[in-house]
Order: sequence, then C-alpha cells, then structure tokens
Amino acid sequence: MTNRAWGKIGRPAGQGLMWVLTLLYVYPILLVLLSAVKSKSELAIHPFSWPKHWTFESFSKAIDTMHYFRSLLNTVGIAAVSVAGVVVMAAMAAYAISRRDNRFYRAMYLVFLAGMIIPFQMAMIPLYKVLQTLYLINTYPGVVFIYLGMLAPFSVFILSGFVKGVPKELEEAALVDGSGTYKTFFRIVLPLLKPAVTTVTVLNLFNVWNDFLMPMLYLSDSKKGTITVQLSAFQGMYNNDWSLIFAGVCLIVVPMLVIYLFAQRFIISGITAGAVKG
Amino acid sequence: MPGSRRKWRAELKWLTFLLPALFFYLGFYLVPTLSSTYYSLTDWDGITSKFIGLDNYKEMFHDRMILASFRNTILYTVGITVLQNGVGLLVALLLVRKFRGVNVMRTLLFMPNIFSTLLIGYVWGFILEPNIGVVNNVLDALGLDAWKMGWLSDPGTARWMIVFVTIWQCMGYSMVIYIAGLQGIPKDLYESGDLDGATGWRRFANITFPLVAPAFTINVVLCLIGDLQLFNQIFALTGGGPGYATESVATMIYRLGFGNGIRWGYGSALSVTLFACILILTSILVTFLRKREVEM
Repeated sequence: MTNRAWGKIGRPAGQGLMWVLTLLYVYPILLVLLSAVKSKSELAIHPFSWPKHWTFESFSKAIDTMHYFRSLLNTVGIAAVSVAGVVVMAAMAAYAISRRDNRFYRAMYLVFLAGMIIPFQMAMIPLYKVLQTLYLINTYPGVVFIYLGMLAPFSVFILSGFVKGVPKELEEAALVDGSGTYKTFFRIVLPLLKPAVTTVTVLNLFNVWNDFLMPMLYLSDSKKGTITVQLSAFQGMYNNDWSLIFAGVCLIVVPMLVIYLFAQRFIISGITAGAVKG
Repeated sequence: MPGSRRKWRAELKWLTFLLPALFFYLGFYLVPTLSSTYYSLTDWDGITSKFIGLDNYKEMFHDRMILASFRNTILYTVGITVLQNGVGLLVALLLVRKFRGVNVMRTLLFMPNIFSTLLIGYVWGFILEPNIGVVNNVLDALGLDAWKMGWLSDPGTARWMIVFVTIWQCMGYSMVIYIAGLQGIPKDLYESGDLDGATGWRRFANITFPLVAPAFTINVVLCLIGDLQLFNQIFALTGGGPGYATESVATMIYRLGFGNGIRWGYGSALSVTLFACILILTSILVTFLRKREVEM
C-alpha cells in the first residue's frame, strides 16, 4: 500500500477506532454519574436509561454512611503528612545520592531501588508485627510511618534523576558566599526542583488516596478509617444499593479528578522522565 | 588534624541528608520485608512460633491452592503484559498524530490510572453483573441469549475479565510512555525511509519499532513487576473466587495472613517465593531486552 492510499483509508479508520475506544472509557464514567443521581428503585428498574427524576438522596446517604467529612479529614491528614514528609526526605536523600558520587551513596541508591520490586504483600505480615511491637497498630503515626518508608523508593528514584539535571555551579556559588549546606539545599536546590517535586507529590498523593489495603489492615478502627476503606465496607452491607455505592465513588474520585486535570502535565512528564532514565 | 576533621564534619552533614529517608525506608519497609525470610522457616500463626526449617516450602509444592494461584499468576502476567503492550503501542501510534479530539482522548485513556482499583472494580462489577449488568442486557437485546453468562462467576471467563479490567485501567500508562518514545524519533529518519520506499508495515518494523525499543523495555518490565503481584483487581472483582479459582499468589498471601485460619509462617514462605520469582524474572528480562535494544 502506498503512503497516499494509507492516508485515505487508514487514517480515518484509525481515528474511528480511537473514538470507539474512547467510548469504552467514557461509558463507565457516565454510568457512575447517572446511576448515582437515580433513586435506588429507579436504578433497579431502568439501569441504563437517562435518569427520569434527578435525586441526590444517594449522595446524602453516602455522606452519612461513610462518615464522609470525618473520613475525608482522616484521609487528607494522613496524605498531607505522609506525602509532604516523604517528598522532603526523598529530595534530601536524592540530593546526597547525586552529589556525593561515591561507592557508599551508589550502594544506597540501589538499596532504595530494591524497594520498587518488593510486593506489598511481602511486607504485609511482618509490618503488622512491627506496628504491634511499637504499640502503633490502629494509630495514625503507624500508617504514616509505613507510607514514609513505602513511598521512599519511587520518590528517591524520580528525584535523583532530576537532581542530576540541576547545574552544580549555582550551589558552588552559594557555598562560596558562605551559605551552609542545608541553606543551599532548601533555598536554592529545592526551588529548582519544583517541577519534579510537584510530579512526585501528585503521584504519591494518588497512591495514598487510593490505597485501601494498608489502612484496612493497620487502621481498622472505623473512626480513623480513610474514605476508600469506608466505601469498601459498603460492599458487604449494601450489596444491591448500587446507587449508594456509585454516589460514594463520586465523592472519592472528584477531588483527585480535579487535581489530575490541573496537574496532568506534571504527571505525564514524571512518568516519561522516569521511564526514559530507567 | 583540623583538615581531616572538617572533612569528616562535611561527610556527616551529607549523611544527615540521607538518613531520614533511609530510617523510615529500612525500619518500616525493607527490614520487615526481609524478616519474612526468617518467618518463612517457622510455623508462626500470630501467637506461637516454632522453627520448622524448610517444611513450609516443601508443603507449598503439594498445596493445590498454591499451585493454582501460581498458574493463575502466570496467566495474568503473560496475558496482561502481551495485550497491554500491543494495545498500548497501537493506541500510541494512532494518538501521536494531531487531529481533533486527540488531547481529550489521551486525557481520558490515561484517567483510570488515577482512580482506586477498588472503585474501578465496583464499576466493572456492575457492568458485568449477570442480571442488571449492561453486557448481558445488551446481548439480550441483540438476541444473543446464548452468549449471556456470569462473567465473574465462571472461573475461565472471570480470569480473562480480570485481565481485561486491568488492561482497561493501566493501558494509558503504557500509551503515555510509548507516545513519548515515538515523539523522540527524528522526522528525517521517516523522510529518508520514504525515499527508500519503506511504508506501512516495513516502515513500522524497520524504523518505528527499533526506535521505541527503550520504551518497550520499560513498559514490559513495569507490567511484569506489577502483574506478578496483581492483587487489587482480583480483590475488587472476584475476591479470589469462585472458590479459589481466580486467586493470584499475592491474594493467596493475603488469605493466609488475614483470612480464615491465620498462617503467617506459611504466608511468609509464599511471599519469599513470589519475591524471588519477581527478582529473577525481572533481571532476566531486563538483560535480554537491553541486549536486544542494542542489536536492533
């Protein structure tokens, strides 16, 4: 087939195929939204039709059952402390690893990298024991400490790639001017890393927000539960109330969706930068 | 000597940059993980623990549930890795071009990656539900009654549904990496290819594919690492059932650790085995794909 012929048939066919595929991604989202605004009984009779009576009763019921505002606060708190903590500590570690290019730091880099292929299921059982021993089971610090450890490998990996791209001259000039190592890092290096820090922050935030296994196991006190864990409790209790489940799904997803639409550029650049260097 | 003392002090200062992250990573992740190796040699059940040597490992080879979970994990890993990369590369080839709606498409196709797998499991669970689910009702309307089935209750189909939903969720991630790889191919290579008459398939096989080899490597490796420890999708869609038919190694570890009849020693042995498999397979694959990148 010549190029021109390919353009005439292939290009529209390819674009058509993509529209069909896009539909496969739009439909589930539409289904969630439309089901959430139907009443339970309407959804049972007309699961696919456009909603006849728009009602937000499922939302208010979901807010009550999930203890939405309390669990939202729990989630935001855990996520804020863990993500801020891991990003600052990982940036510092990445700085040391990339600037002190000796055998010890290279070994430390590999130690961090090893964490990226460890399945969480392998840590699951021993971590329970660790938290129990330290009286941290069912506490916020327990969960935060695990996130600080668990998210470190990925964060160090991405950030050390970016630190290498920061010119050393700026730091050297600052050091000559009498600025200490810490001051140089926080005043000069960290601001220069802003795009990378944004990327790592957003990706870690998604991870913590969407995680349900870890808080389910180590934060079983329902008052302390995160929103995703609260929703997972629906499955057994309200088996057939899909309208309620989907209202809960909306309530969890919307904050992340807003962040995604704003920070998309940083997310994509982080993924591809990590991939190219890997 | 003041000089060497200053050097030591500088060295210590650098160490304080490394230590906070290292402390939490070692204390709350790596060391506990590695301690599984010791627990795997005991019959620890959460309360009492006795050293039993390699008995757990021996038992695994005769445990039908464990063997089934390994078989399933192989199916998931191979199925998802092959299909996700095939579809991801094809989609990237089509979406690397500029046309109306292309940015919206990229945004939408990547989007499921930012959602909790648990929630995606609920949505697809509803779509595939046998009575009120969309799929069966559409088949009904089309008069294809014979094709209607319990998509998540028939073991053979349920496994492929897990494969499908995982690809639906993660394909955008591979796509993004392939698009970046494709954008990195210099245009003049295609122009000189055009002069030589390299079009269509030959153009793809001789120019495009060799040049996205690094993207291919990273995508295949990421899939392999992720799919060997596939957990969330199974947990959300089938819970390992019916029976233990869709259980993966990772969900088996969960079942042994936190399901009925806690066997933490045995679960640790299984997790050590899983980790060894991931480590060995990843190393082999990375070496092989890197070598291939150079040859192409």
